[in-house]
Amino acid sequence: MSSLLEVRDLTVCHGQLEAVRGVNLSVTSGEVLGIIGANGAGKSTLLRTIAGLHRPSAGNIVFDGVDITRMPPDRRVSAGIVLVPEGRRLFGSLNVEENLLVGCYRARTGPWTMDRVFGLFPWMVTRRRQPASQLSGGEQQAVAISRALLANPRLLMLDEPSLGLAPLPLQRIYAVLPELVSSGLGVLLVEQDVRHAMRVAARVECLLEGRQTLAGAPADLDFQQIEAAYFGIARSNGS
Amino acid sequence: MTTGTLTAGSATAGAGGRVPVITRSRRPATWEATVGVAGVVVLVLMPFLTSQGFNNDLVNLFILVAVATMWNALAGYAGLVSVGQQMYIGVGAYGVLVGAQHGLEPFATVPVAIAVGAVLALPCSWLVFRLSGAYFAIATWVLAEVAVLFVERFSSLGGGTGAPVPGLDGIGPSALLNYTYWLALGTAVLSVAAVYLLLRSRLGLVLTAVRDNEIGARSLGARVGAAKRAVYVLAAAGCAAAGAVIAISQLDVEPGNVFNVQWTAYMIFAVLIGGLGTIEGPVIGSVVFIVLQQSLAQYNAWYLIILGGVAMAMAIWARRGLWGLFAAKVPVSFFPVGYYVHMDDGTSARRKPTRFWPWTVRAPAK
Amino acid sequence: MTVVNALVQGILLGGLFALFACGLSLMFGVMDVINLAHGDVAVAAVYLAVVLIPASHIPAIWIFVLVVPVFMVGGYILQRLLIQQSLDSGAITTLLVTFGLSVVLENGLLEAFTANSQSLNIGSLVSGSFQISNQIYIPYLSLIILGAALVALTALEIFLARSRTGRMVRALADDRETAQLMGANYRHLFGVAAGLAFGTVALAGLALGMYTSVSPTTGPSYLLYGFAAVVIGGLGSLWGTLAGGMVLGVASTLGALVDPDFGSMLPYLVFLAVLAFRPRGLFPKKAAL
Repeated sequence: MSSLLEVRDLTVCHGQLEAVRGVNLSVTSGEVLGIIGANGAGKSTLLRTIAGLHRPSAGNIVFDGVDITRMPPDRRVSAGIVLVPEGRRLFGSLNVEENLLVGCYRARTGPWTMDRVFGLFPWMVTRRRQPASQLSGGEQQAVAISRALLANPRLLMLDEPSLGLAPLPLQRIYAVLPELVSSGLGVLLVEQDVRHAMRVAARVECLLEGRQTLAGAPADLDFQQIEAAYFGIARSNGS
Repeated sequence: MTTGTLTAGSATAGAGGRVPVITRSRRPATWEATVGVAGVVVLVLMPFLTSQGFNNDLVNLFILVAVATMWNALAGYAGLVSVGQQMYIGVGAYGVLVGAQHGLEPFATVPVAIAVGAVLALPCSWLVFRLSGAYFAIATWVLAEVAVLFVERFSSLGGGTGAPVPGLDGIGPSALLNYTYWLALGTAVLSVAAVYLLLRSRLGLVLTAVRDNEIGARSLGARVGAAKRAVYVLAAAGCAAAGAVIAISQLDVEPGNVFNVQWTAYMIFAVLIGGLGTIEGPVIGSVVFIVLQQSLAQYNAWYLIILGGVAMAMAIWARRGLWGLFAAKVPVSFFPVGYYVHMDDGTSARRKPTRFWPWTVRAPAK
Repeated sequence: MTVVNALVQGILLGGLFALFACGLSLMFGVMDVINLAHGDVAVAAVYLAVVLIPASHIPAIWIFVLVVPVFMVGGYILQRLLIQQSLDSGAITTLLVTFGLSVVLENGLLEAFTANSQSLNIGSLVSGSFQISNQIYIPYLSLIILGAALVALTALEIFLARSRTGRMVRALADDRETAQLMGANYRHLFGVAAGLAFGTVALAGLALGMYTSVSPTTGPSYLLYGFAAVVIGGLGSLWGTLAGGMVLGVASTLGALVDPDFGSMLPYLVFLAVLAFRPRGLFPKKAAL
């Protein structure tokens, strides 16, 4: 299976700090790749660079065979890459429906329409005129994901969807993921909470201080390995 | 413009007994100091050397140097972009008018005018410091508009058309011109000196920190509000002084002239062309401004259009201005305000350490 | 009874101030830019009309059909070529660049047209007024200007609320980064916002030129009044801007009852008072998430 997204030797700097150092990964259609790591490990920076908000200082990003390293973020949406940013980031002065419609701004053709979204989250129908700022955390996350889906992406990136969410709404969000990937969507999922990532991801990568420290399928990794990679304990081979 | 050395008291000696030494400039600025003092001496003697017309141009130059220096201190160091400094220019001019109308010797009213400007700055700063960015800028402009409308209500001050400054005809015409010249020169020199000393002091350090990161500076306990207010009051005093000089040199005070936002345009253009955030910049920029103004005088307002265009271009692409471009190539500094750390191997003469406070450290020389 | 008439005239004047203000509000809300040349652009529109009216044989009252689109395109180009550059360059640069633009524009007009004032002759058709009572009269022109302001504000409101582009402009104003993540080309949309701002201020200038006369240095006063209307009404609300404009208009006409200079001063005093005590204005709408 040819990969949807390939990241090669990516290095991203924030001023003098190297937030991402020489990261290599790939995502194929219909799979969930989980990226785990502690705060400040570079996970968000990685996603935002793939989305086009940061310029890498080295390395490149290839999407569907096309080198998109220099492509501006709005054109990446047209190409099929959509990021659901950390903290949901709904548009505060817009209501639920308008937030969703913004997702359609640069939408590609595809299965996701307003009706399908309302089918996925029926509560949105009655509350479509409500200001987005009045929603609960779980509801905002649902709107944020739907907004991204309405653009009909081929690669959906989720930056810490579990952040600030209570267990029940979180469960509902994660329940949606299998349906998404079954239609061929590739998902890049960043999580601080390892359990959630392990439950849905086909493969995980671990980042520490911008570098990859561990990779593999959840079934193949044991707790000690992950802990060591996550926290950087007992680093052998000097990474 | 001299170097003082501070020895870092508790610094550990490096290999070979070398100790870090902090100086105020990359190399001793004695050359620049000599040139500067010589230049001022020449300027003082100008009335005896050149024509009255040229001296008049120099008066205009000195006025511009004073206000440009003040605007640069506000915008380039304190981060306060004011487009309403003309208010204080007008206040200074009317201070002279009111004082002279009440029987004071016109030249003696100048300190009074400066004091009025500085005092007025205090309540104004209370209002405008609640704002930032565009809100701040427009508030300063509105204050200036209110000031001119207020002043125009008084027919004793000449209402909308203004009034002549009494008491100036008692002095002989050529003596008057010379005194005006020296007053203007003094204003310019004192303005630059005041800003230089302010920025060399601890206050200047606070301002530099604020310029880089205001929240960080506040969290370290730097008294940001006091620092900004000090600069604002100084700028008001400086502009009031310039206004006083304008009143005396033009022999009358017209509200449409002294309160005109045109003065802000002159200040801003001079600073942007010369270099924002450097003390030399406003001086250089003022010279360029006056030269262009004189040479394009017969083309009416074209010089302002050209200067405006150049200033805009420099604001976007060459923020450090002409002086910045020059100083990047030639290591000259007439007004050193930074701190430099050198490694001293004990061969140069050491002075007694003075006060000890946290400093921003730059890369060592060589 | 003249107080009541002054109130009425002030409310009508509010429409004119609101026309000046809505462009400022749009540019400030979307890209955090105060165009200090805003008032001068309005004056430039009058001068363009003065040139175009004899050349195109269009009567003054309809000249906006030519002038407004020219300024909309001009605003888009100026934004993308000049103002965007200064935005990329730094925070205070834009204030300085638009100030420079104001000076250049004023002096350019001065060179081309001299300092004499100009006005747009609209003929006797619209120079009458309704007589409501003994002391209250409503000039036709004021009513037309208020009507034009209402139409412009409504059109702008509909554009922002209902259209795909308008919705994205609002999203951009809320959160530029996330808007980009949803496919917004923010440079283009900033251009659109600027184009709309220049279009409305050109309309405001034409209205001003019919109402009274303008000269190259008239601009800044209306920049200040426009900004004051935005602040008093509260940023983010177009109808708040109309309310702010009316507050200013009433301050202007009531102040003029004392004397003409006070009529110019009172709006500024009201503005300073609002800045001091209620800086978010009467109807602030910008909400952060």
